[in-house]
Amino acid sequence: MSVLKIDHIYKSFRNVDAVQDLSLDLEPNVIFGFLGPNGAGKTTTIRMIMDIIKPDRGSIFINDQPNTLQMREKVGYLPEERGLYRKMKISELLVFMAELKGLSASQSKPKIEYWLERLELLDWIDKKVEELSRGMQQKLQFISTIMHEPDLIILDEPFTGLDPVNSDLIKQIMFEQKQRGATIIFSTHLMEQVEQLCDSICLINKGRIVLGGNIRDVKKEFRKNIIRMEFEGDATFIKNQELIERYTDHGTHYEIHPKESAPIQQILQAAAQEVMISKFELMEPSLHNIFIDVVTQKERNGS
Amino acid sequence: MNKSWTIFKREYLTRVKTRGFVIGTIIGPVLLLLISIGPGFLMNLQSEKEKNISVVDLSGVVYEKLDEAIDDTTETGSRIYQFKEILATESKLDSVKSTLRTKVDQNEIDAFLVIPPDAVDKNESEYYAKNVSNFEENSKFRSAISGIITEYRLKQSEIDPALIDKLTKRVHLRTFKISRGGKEQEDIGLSFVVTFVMIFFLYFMLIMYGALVMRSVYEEKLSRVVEVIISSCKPFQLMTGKVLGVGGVGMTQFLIWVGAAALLGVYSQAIIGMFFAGAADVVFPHIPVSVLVYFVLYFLLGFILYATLYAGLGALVSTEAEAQQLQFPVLFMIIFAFIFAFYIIRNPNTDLSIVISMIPFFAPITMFTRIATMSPPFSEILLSLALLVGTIILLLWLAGKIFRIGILMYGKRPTLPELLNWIRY
Repeated sequence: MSVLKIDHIYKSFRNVDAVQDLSLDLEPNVIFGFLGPNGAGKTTTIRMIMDIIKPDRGSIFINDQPNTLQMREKVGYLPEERGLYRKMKISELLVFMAELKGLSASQSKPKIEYWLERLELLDWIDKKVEELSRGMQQKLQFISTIMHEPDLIILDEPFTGLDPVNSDLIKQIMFEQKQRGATIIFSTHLMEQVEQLCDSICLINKGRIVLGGNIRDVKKEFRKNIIRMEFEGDATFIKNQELIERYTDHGTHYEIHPKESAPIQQILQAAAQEVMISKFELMEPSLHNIFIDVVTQKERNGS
Repeated sequence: MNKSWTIFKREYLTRVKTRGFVIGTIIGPVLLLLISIGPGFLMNLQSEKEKNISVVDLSGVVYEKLDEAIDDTTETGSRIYQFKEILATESKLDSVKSTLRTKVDQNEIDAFLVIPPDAVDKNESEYYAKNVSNFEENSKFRSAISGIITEYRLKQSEIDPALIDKLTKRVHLRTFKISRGGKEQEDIGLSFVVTFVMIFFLYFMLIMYGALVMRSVYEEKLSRVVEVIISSCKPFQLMTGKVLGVGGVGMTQFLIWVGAAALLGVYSQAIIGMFFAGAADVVFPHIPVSVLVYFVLYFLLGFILYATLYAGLGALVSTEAEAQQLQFPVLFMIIFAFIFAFYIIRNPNTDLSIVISMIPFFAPITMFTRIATMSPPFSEILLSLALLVGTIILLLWLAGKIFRIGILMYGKRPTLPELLNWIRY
């Protein structure tokens, strides 16, 4: 069973191809990082999932069913451009939002109270939205996204404007939602958070998927032999051009790029003879670097 | 559950519950009442203060009759106008006038009248005071003096003033309105007032609530709430929910006002009597039920027509200033219909009136005006209704298309060809 299946969708606006031949298949119970540079087509794709705009070609299925209004009652969406009815009371607003998702007032009331309590907004229940701070409004909109227990949750930059305490709270709730069985599409530019939260990712650029899969597989694919080393003493081995291509002195540590032919083991031995090693590790490429590599490389190839 | 209903409920309840609505509902009619009868009422408020008026009567005809001609009294029964004759000759007139002028200036007297020696032949007299803008007072003196002089002339010609009065008596014209079925009803001009009030009300509601729909749409768009809403309901449902929700608020206000007016109708005589002692026997015109039904019908259809138009326009807007601009052509159509209603009241059956009353964008006001002033053939009413409903259906479809795309477009306003493209999409 798949929670979301996107089958070869295309969308263009006035001769700009926003999304081209994009396919995805998401299982239940995952947090999926949906990444890409600005203007890559992320928001367009998300809007097509929400049926706000229609794809030119291709189709989208939710819970293996055609993407109807009724199916979308099982989807929660936190758009990047956020907004709430400023003049409404918080309780009224949430009842309204829940009703749009098919929950009657009596069904939504206990959920609303639970979530307001959980996100420390219960004291504000009778206040108007405009009286809340930005961060609070963001939490409020987050509640409206998840309170109807959707199978698919789409979060577009959910952490902007939140302090670390609230960010952690949201992260925790995201994990809980995943454990409940929900699938979360998490779109962000903060790679660090993707590494913490996501099981799998997909990176799109210029409307196409350029990289995708399980996060560990992606990293393995991009692993390069880069050594991060901390030591005390005079090092001459790093100048050995047979072993080492180049290195960078970061003050606290060295970043060493070995020659492709040189075995890592040999470098370690050479180093051990000269200096006191306190740290020696093969660096994992960060998603950050992968992102930049892939995007800039594609651009170079493209031009 | 139907999402339109959810949208409708929110639009309706959040508006009706505001303090602004409650105040507007109460203040509206009060304001209308103040504007319509306020000035007349204030003019009628007599200044109770006694006024000392000096009279220089060189003709020797006017002064002795003045007390009799102007005998207004205060509530306690004392005379308001205290006349005092100043004796003067024609040669001394200028110096007397200048003394009196100083007296007026120093508030020793309130005003003075000068009747020239040849007033009877030359038809001239003069009134000096600090304030000469009180039309009522001016006309009081004018008619008193000219009455006295006319009577004097008649006597000189040995004609009995009572006879003249009898011979020149005006003939009273009573007006009867014949409505469909040949029923007649005496009308003393108040039915014009009632018709006018109803037309004004239509005009006012179309402008106010139409703009409210537009505002509701573009506020939702500009605050970006719409993205979440539109992912949970169809754009068409959102649009109809909004149009009907805001319309419901207008309808509620309307019913409150009609209810209040009905109560006022029952007690109208007592209320009018409170303000104008002499008007207690005024009969409040009876509005035929059919006219009321048409009123509600044209209000509803007119509102849906304009609200749909406004909703479509609201979706195109990216800034508040743009909204003002786009609003103008629509506003113009409503204003045009309203202005034209004045022509129709006087000429309800000319070809021009008939044509204008058929055009759907004007019909809510112009056809109703015709219905209220005369009884147009039923076929004409039916045709105008059919055209109106047809246009509404077309407009709903069209605005729905524009709404769907426009509501998510920010930045540059689409050009006309682009709009046509959206409609085809």
